[in-house]
Amino acid sequence: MKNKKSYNLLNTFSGRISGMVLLTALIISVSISAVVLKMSQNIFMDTYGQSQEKVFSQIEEELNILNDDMQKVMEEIDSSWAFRMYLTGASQMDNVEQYRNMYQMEQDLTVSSSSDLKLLNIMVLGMQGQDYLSRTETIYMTKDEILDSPAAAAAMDEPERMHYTFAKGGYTQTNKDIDVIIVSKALYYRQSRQIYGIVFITLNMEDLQKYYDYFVTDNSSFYMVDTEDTVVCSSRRGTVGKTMEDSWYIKAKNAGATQCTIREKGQYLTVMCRELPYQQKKIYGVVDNRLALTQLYNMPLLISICLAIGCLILAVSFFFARETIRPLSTLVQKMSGIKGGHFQEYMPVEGTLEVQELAKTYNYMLDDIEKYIAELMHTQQEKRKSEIKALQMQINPHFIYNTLASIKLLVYQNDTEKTITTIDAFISLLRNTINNTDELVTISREIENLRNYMQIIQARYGDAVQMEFYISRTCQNCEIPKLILQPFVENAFFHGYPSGQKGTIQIYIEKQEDMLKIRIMDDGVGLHADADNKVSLPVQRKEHFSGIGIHNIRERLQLMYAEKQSLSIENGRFGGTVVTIQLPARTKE
Amino acid sequence: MLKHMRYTAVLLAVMMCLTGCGDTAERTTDVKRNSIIVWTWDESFNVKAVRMAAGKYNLTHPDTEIIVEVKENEKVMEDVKNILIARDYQRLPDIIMIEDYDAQDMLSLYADDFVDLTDKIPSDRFVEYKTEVCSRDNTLYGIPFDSGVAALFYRCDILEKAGFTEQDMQNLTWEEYIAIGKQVKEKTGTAMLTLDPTDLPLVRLIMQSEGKWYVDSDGTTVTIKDNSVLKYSLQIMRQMLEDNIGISANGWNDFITAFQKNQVATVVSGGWIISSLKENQEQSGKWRVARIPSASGEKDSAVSNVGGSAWYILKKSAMCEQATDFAVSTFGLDDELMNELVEAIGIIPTTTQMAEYDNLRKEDPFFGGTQVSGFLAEMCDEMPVINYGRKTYEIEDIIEQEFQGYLVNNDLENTLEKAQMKAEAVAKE
Repeated sequence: MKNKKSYNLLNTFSGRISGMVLLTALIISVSISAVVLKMSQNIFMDTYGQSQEKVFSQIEEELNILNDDMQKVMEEIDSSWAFRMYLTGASQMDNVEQYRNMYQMEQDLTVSSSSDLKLLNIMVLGMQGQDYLSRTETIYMTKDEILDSPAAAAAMDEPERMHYTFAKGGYTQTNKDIDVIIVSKALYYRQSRQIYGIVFITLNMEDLQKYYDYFVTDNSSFYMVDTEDTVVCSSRRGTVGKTMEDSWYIKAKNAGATQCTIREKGQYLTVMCRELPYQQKKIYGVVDNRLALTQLYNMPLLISICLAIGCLILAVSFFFARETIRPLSTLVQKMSGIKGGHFQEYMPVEGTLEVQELAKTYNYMLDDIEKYIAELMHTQQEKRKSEIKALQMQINPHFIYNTLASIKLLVYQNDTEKTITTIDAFISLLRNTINNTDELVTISREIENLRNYMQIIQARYGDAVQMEFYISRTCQNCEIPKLILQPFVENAFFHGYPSGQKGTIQIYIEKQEDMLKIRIMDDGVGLHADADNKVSLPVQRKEHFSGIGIHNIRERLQLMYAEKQSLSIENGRFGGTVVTIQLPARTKE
Repeated sequence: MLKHMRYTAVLLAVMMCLTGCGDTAERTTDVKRNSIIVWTWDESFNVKAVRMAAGKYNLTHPDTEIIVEVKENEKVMEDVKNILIARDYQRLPDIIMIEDYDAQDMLSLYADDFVDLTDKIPSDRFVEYKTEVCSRDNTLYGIPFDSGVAALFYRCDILEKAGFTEQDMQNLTWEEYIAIGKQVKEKTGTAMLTLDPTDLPLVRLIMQSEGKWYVDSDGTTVTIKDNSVLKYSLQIMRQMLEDNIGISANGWNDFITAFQKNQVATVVSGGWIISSLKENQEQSGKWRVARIPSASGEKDSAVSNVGGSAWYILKKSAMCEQATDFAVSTFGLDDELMNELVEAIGIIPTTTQMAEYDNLRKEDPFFGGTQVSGFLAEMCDEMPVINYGRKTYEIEDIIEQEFQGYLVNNDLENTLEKAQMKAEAVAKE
């Protein structure tokens, strides 16, 4: 059973309690975190969305201002006599006039453009072939090529307003191969609607960037889309010039709202849209909320904090639980000890109130059990003692009959002296046996009893067998249980000397240190020894002096002296029987 | 119980630490770029030069990428100034080109933002007049690049039609030049040169050839009113316009288009124009070069300069160290590269080692087999040293405006007096 006991952590108190605590802590922390995260996310999304929308509106405003500025430049060129003369009537001017006219054109343009548009790439193309370029660079296209371009065509188609056309390359050397937006407007006579020139302002992506740059972050992007769904400007440079096919775009376009939220395929986007009526473009601001939130919450950190706290809770609760449960474990160990009969294993009273109470009760219970056992032993002993007492007080009636019969015979023989000594011995024996209720008697008294007994027996059976006493003087006052020697003498007398043999029974009593050594030796026939050299005493039915026989002497000694006594019966070296009794030497107080 | 409270306190402290450290983590989004960015203008000249230098530099430094961003001269100035004012150094390029006329203005304002090259380049490496322009307070900030040494480029085919030989074009005075122009215009209908109402290189050219400028040699005292050379140059310009030999051209595009489309017979400009001339290979062999006409009446002495520029490295840019290494080791000290540039873009170098550049002695078929680069380079030594001051273009704006008035009222004294007043206001430090 003990070997099979595998140490399953989950099956211990501490394991379960800490597991429980951890589970609870996790459930609480996860649920609270989830709720708080959700709430703060919503609040963040609201405020973030609002601020992003404001910023986005700012873009719209700035782009409208840009449009106004363009309009102003266009109007200035349109209303400048210098430009008109340059484009239509250059040939009628002389050289100096041309020179002055050209200076005037530059002045007109400088006046019109606001400071941040000082270096605008403005190209003016006259229908008669004159051109003007504001920048220090060269035009690489021929005039016909320019007039065939979509920007020029749009301007001529609808000369009243400005056109914003996306192109994969401008007209001049520096923006030959880059994405540009060309703002074009035709110059025309109001009455005849005859077009005499076209103004082209080329905006490259760099120029436009400053209008949306402050909106763009890692998680928000900007798109300007024309009526054919082509991206004409974007913070994602790679998408410029391509047709918009993203699903968010199609959804937002269909929704038509200025702001909408799109959730799909793990995306969580806020899309803002504004229409730019002058430019005939739409601008979209896309905020990736998921990305914004990832930046807001450092998820790995949160999770690792949770894990660290979890581990800490686990360790701490395990420690606490084990500390709390420790008295119980001790109890369990001690209780296993009880199985072996160790009733002295008390529990230390410590730990929680409940455990303290348990320990107290346990200790109390231990005390009780021990007390009851002691009591039980005591009663048992007393019971036996009284039994024996009763036995030793009871003289065998046959003995009395026989003795009386012997005395009667003596009386018949008229042996008065012997009669008297026998009766005296008998009286003394009866008194000592029946009247004296003490269990213990002094050795001298016991010897006296033995002499009296011997007197009676010799009166009955003759004196072929004699008794000799060798009593150490120091032992005289020592006490021994009553009638402890008589049964052996009786036994030796009746069984040691069959058919009238002569012999001597010797009794030696001496004190060795604090032990009494009593030997009863006869020189009779000895005992039958069996194979194990164990001797057995023959059982005698009648003629016992008292209820005490050899058979219960051992028991008496055991009851009185426990382990401190010994009794041995064996055949003597020179025949006969030797009974040796050893007892603690006690004197009467 | 006390024991337990202690445990709880420790636990709380640990949890606070754990939760507290959340907001100490800072995120940096700086992306360190690994390429040197150069801002310059003129695709056929400066840009090409950087690309050649980069190609050579990459042989020994294959990991360094060099990106050229083409921006107009004015745009470079404006953007760099804006970035420096805003301290938005993230957007700063590493190397920029500054035209010599702007150099002092830039250095006076932002000298601390440019890398000091005094110890990196020997003081006698470049000719004196360029070193002067690129330095301030005896500290060299720029690596002189091309010389703006000016010359008279002329179409010998057109002049021949008007009856002039190459010999006739040598060592002219401006009056002789106008006289020739008149005949050319009369006989071929072709004008002599373009004149831009918003840019007066001719005025600067004539002034420098006589060692004069809008300002005195201290760089600040305006010398317009009694500047006889300025007066002379304006008279020459007016004469050219009135005689129809100088046609109006607005801006760079018109200027280039005019000679590329055979609208003018000569170009008076800095040596850097050669690369633009050569863009129209149909005109190969028809161009010749001569010294610019002289203003003093003394023949054979006219040497002047138009434009010319130098490389400057921005101290606070992301790749400043690598950029310095690149610029110094190529444009600064590499004679071999300079020699190659002479051939490739027709640069007139400003180093003092010109004797070693054998490409300068190469005969150029575009110019009828003349050693055009060598011819220009030779004049560098005679170049008058001028302190341009800080306000060249601002003052010129005033001159341009007043010149318009002069064209109408023909009162030069009055015109210059007004210009002097305005220029003093502008140039006042």
